Amino acid sequence: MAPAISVRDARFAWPGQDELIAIGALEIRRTERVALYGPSGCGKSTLLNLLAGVHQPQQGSIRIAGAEISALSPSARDRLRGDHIGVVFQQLNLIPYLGALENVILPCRYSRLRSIRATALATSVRAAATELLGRLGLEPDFWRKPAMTLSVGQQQRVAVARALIGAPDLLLADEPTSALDPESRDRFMTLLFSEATRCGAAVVLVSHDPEVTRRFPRQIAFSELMVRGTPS
Amino acid sequence: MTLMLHSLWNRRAAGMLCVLTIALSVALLLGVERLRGEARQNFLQTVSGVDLIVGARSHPVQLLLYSVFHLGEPTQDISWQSYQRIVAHPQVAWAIPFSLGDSHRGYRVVGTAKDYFQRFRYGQGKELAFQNGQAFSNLLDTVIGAEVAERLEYRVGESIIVSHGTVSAMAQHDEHPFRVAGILERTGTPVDRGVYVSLEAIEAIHQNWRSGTRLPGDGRSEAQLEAERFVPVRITSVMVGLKAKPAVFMVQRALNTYTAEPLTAIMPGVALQQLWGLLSMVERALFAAAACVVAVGLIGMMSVLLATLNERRREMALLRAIGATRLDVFGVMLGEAALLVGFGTVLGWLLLQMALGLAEPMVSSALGVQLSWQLLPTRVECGWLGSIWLIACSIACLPAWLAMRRSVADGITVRT
Repeated sequence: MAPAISVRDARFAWPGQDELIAIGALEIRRTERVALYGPSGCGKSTLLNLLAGVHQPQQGSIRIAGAEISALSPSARDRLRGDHIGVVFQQLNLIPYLGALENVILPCRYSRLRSIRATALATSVRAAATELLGRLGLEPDFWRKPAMTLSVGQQQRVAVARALIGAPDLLLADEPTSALDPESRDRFMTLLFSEATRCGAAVVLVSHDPEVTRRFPRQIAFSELMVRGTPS
Repeated sequence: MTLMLHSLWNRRAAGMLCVLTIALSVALLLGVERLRGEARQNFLQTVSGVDLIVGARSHPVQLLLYSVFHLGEPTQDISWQSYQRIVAHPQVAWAIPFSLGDSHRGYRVVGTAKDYFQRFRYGQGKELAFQNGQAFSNLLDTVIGAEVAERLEYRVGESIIVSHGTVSAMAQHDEHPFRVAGILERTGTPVDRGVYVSLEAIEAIHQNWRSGTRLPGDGRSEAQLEAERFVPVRITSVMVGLKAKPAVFMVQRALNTYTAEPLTAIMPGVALQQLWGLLSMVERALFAAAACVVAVGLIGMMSVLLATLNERRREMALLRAIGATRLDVFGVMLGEAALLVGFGTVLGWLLLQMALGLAEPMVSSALGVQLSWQLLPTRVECGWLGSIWLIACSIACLPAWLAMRRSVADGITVRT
C-alpha cells in the first residue's frame, strides 16, 4: 500500500517571495503518528496547505495516498483531499450554524468514497456520525444544537468526528489542543489517538506544546525537515 | 442545499430584508406593468362596436379628441344632408349624429339621438346602462354621465342650465332649463363626463341665437317649443355602425372622398392607437422608474452578499478543507443568492396579488380601470419574474467569484 503522504524535494515559495518550504524527503506511512513542532511563522500553515494538496510545490513531488498532486487538476486535488484527509484546526472548526451532527456528516456530502466507507462501517452515514459522536463523548442532547452553541472542548471533539468519518487515510491536526485546558487536552489526545487507530488513519499533528508532541513516537522539528541549498 | 438553507437561516435578518426589498421592487415593477397593460387596454376600448367616426376634414386624432374625449373644438361642422347621405349608404346599419358646442359647469353638452344609449359600446362590447331614470323623452330632457352626477350631486328630476359655448362664464341658455331624466352607470370612459341632450333640443335652445349672442324676444314656453318640429341644420360628428365589418375600408374611402363636403372618416381603434402612441412617453417613464427600483433592490442584495464575504472566509476555508472544490464555493454563494432572489420574486408576486385584491374596488371606481385578479402569473409576467431572477443570479456571480478567488488564496487556513 502507498504511504499516506510522501514528499520528495518539494520546494514552495509565494510569488515574489523567498523560498519558504524546501523538504528533502518526508514519508508518512499509514497509521503512523507524527508530530511536527516549530516556532510560529515558520511556514507551518503553508506546509499544511501543501500536505493537504491545496497548494502545489513549484518543484519536487508530493503524493497523497499514492497520487501525485501536481499531475491533478485543481478540482481533482480537492476531491483527493476530501477522499483521503481529515483536518482539525486550532479552533473554529465547524460551520457555526449547522448542528453538530450535520457538521460531522458534511465530508460525506463532498466525498463519495467517505460516504461509502461510512455506510460500510455503520448502517448509514448518519449512524456512523452518531457512533463517532457517542464514542467521542458528546451527549445526544448536543447533536442537533448549532455548533456555535457548543463549548470549545465539545467543538474540538465534533471536529475530530468530522475529520474521521468515512475512515480517511490521514488526519491533519493543526494545534488542536491550544484552546483546551491541560486536563481536557490529555483526554482529547487519548480520544483522538484511539479513534484514529480504530479507522486506521495516519496522524500528522503540528504543535509547539511538548506535552502534546511527546506522546508521538515520531517527532520532527520543523527546522530539521527543511533543507537549504539546491535539492539533491 | 441544506447548507445553503441553514446558512440563509443563520443570516435571516439581513436575508429577510434582502428578500423584502426584492419582493417590493418586483411587486412594483409587475404592478406598473399590469396597470400599464390594463390602462392601455381600457384606453383602446374607450369606444367599441363603432366602425367609423365621421367629422369635418381634420387630423384623425383631432377628430377622435373632440368626438370621443370631448376635448378641443371641432374646426368645422358637417351638414345634415351629409348625415342623411351617410345613413342612406347601403353598407351603413346605423349612424348616430353628435352636436357639440355647449357646456354645463365645465362638462360638455352633447347633442345626440336616443339611439346613442343603445348603440354605443365600450370595453369588451359593454352597453351603456342607466343607474337611475331613462333616456330623454321630452325635448328639454337630459341624461348625464356618472361623474357629472357625482361631482355636481345631481339627481333625476333636477333642473340644470346649459351655457352657450364651452366657457361657463359666457351666455347662459337660462330661458330653457333642462330636466335630468337619467343618470348613466359609470363606465370609466369619457362617457361619464358628458351631459346628453337631444339634437332637437340643441336646435331649439339656439333658435334665437346668431353668431354666439342672443337676439332679444324669445319667450316661448317648453310646450310651445315641443309643438315645433326642430330639424338640425349642422352637426359635428357621426358614429357609424356597418352591416358588414369588411366593408369598413370601402366605406371609409367613400366618405373621405365625398365630394359635396370635405369629410374625414376614422376607424376609432386605429386613431386610439395613434393617440396612445403619443402618450407612450409617460408610460415608458413609469416603467423606467419601476425598473430602477428593481435595480436598487438587486444592488441591495449585492451589498448584502459582499458584506458577508469577509465573515464567511473561514467557513469557505473549512469547506475547502473538507473537500469542497473552488467551484463548490462558487456554487454555495451563487445558490444562496439564487434562493434569496427566488423567495423575493415569489413573495413579490404574492404581494402584488394581495395589493391588487385590496385595491381593485378602489381603482376600478376611481379610474374606471378594471384590474383583473389572477392566481397564476401570465406568460409575460413569468418572463419578467424569470428575467429578474436570471439577472440577479448573473450579478451574484461577482461576489461568488470573489469568494472563490479568496478561498483559492486562503486554502484551508485563514490567516487572521
